[in-house]
Amino acid sequence: MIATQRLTRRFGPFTAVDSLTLTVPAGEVFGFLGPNGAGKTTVMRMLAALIAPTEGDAKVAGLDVRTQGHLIRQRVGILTESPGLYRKLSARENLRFYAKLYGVAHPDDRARAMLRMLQMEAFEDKPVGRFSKGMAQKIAIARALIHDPQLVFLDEPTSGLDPEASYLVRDFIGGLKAQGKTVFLCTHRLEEAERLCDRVAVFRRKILAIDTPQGLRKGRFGSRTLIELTHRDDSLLTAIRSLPFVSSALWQAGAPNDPPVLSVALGDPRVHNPALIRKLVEHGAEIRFVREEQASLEQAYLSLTGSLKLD
Amino acid sequence: MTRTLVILTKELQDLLRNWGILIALLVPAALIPTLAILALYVAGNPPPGLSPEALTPPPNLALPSELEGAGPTALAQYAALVPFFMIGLIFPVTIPSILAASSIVGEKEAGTLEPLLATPIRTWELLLGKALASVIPALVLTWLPFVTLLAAAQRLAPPEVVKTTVLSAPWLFGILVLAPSLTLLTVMFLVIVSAWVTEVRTANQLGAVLIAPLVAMIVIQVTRGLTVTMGTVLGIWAVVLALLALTIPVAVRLFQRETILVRWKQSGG
Repeated sequence: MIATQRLTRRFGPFTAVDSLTLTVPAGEVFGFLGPNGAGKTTVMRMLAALIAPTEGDAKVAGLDVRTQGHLIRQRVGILTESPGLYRKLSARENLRFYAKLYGVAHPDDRARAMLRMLQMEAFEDKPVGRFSKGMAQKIAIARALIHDPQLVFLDEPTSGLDPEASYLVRDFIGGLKAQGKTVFLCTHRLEEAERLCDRVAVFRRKILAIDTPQGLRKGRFGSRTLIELTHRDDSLLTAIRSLPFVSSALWQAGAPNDPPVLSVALGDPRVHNPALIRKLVEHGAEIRFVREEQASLEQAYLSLTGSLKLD
Repeated sequence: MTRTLVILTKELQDLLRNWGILIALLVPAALIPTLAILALYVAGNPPPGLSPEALTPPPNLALPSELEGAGPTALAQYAALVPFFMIGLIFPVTIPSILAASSIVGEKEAGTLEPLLATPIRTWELLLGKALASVIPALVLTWLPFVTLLAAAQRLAPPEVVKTTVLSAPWLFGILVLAPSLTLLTVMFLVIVSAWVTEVRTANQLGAVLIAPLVAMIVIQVTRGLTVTMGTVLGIWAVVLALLALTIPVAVRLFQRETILVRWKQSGG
């Protein structure tokens, strides 16, 4: 659905997007993560044929962003960062206006259908200026989908929303996935990306990493084995650090009365955990529980964007 | 073209719900012809006790040959009507400056331009829709008061006064040709201004700059007795056309997706 090759955008001497090569297959929910000012919106604008690349190529729905922008805009939906609705017009009038611009047959029926789908039909004749942020965002999402596009760009869809409204919007995006639509989700909300996306890219002018959310976490930090013991014995650390597959071992920080927990980083827990446990038991450890701890996507993201320094 | 009509319809729908703008447009559009009709009536029916000199045309006012030998009432009515020609030409400038500022800078201020530009609309269709949404109300609110004044003048003034004022060639040319040109010039000016301005209020104030030459002409007309001849009107029109030739290409160049999204100064920095 999206294929870019060394896509670059410069604003004067400043390079906002540097040689982006990316493929997003049809039906995927693709998360585009990055801090504010990383160039996410610029990428989205280039892919939606709103601004032209300085260098490189991009095809969206098989169409060239440089020469077939008009056709691309007909086939994609876009949710911009601010809802951008006409405050004096009602929800239905806003949607009908856009339906007409997209050349939708029976624009009024389509606008009503979208409002019904969003459970907003009770508010269809109310001016949008009276809506809460969450309601306005739902109308803005409906606007992006009014012409039933196969590809939807969503720029920070839950930005500024309260938890309830964010939940509703996320639920709606989940519904898009179920309908088989391709979603390009620009966000810096990691829990959102983790819940919704099939794959994510961490981006800061260029792609820093691209993988499934789970793959990104594991690839960056691996996983750790946590072992809860009945009592603390520092000689255990020396014993397990001598094992060739252990890369680090330390006591996990906790309250003074918490039971001691060993946190051990090792190559592959499935293969190496039995040898690790054997070693601990041989040195007199009394084990209560063994569990796996995975790094969060947030840790992976912060480390990739340089906001978190790794030891 | 269909999308241009969609834009035009939406703009007019939006305008009809904006009481602040409607009042700003309708009050002067009603007030000016009312004042002109009142002046015409008072000149034709002087209140008892009013000194005859009060209604005598100023000595520096050049009278057309058709009014040679006309009575003092007709001359007073002629003198009363003359300033309203230039005053009437203020509408084609003020109305679009209010409307274009609201529809272009207002969209920028409200963040509605980007979703609009993300649709398949071509930028010329959008610009034309926006321009028509300013030009059409401006012309309606210029022509309607004129038609009202014309009807009133035909009832209140002798034919020679009507013929030398509202039905004279300069008036008709001014209303039918100069007014639409002035309206278009104002819209183009506002499009150019929109690239740098982020508030509707600022755009309104800058739009008012275009009124200054007209106000200056009204002052000269009243104080120095300037007669608006066909030559004067054609001279003004030539200046307007020259300015249109300069502003239209700049406005069209500035009103492109890329330029609007990247180079226009956006609201909030």
